[in-house]
Amino acid sequence: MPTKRLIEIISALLIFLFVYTSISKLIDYTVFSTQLSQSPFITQYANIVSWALPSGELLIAGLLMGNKTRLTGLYASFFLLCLFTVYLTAMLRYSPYIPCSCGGVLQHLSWQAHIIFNAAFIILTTIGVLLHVKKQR
Amino acid sequence: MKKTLSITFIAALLAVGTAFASKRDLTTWVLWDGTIKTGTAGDIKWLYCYGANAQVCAVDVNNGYNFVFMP
Repeated sequence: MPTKRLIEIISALLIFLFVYTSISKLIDYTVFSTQLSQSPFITQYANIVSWALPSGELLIAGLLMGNKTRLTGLYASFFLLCLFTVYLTAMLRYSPYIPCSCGGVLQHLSWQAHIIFNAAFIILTTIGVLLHVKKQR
Repeated sequence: MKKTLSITFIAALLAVGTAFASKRDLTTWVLWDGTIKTGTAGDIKWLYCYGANAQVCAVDVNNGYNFVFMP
């Protein structure tokens, strides 16, 4: 499979993930913001995060759509996925209780399964970044 | 550029469609005490299950895996 096509497929998968989860959060905004406000680590930032997170996801999806902005989008995806995985791991290890604040069908995943899901997407994003950098050389 | 845009655009379009399609406005729930209530997940959370999500509070009767949690 040509490199360009592989990068496009990886970008399309990330776009699907980010657009789906952000729209799901915005559709059920009340539940999402309530659950965030109950999260022990981000209670005081819940209002900002409940808007910033879906907006950021949509922005990254937008970056991934354009050829010129795709690499930035891939880096941003990598950063966001890593951040979320660190958050999930910290919640599992250190939180006194575990809330659920996932978007759409992802809320049916257990937190352990969510970490594996994220790890798979981090690997996919890393492959995308490496292929993109290699292609640009 | 055009072809790339179309693949990624289709992905975005599919995602929006899937997100809206998977949203059910009114759902019937079985609460932890056995009572049956109808409403959105948001309504149930606010009215009957408010607080930290420590244990299952309500279960969607239609599929059995859609939960609302309670302290």
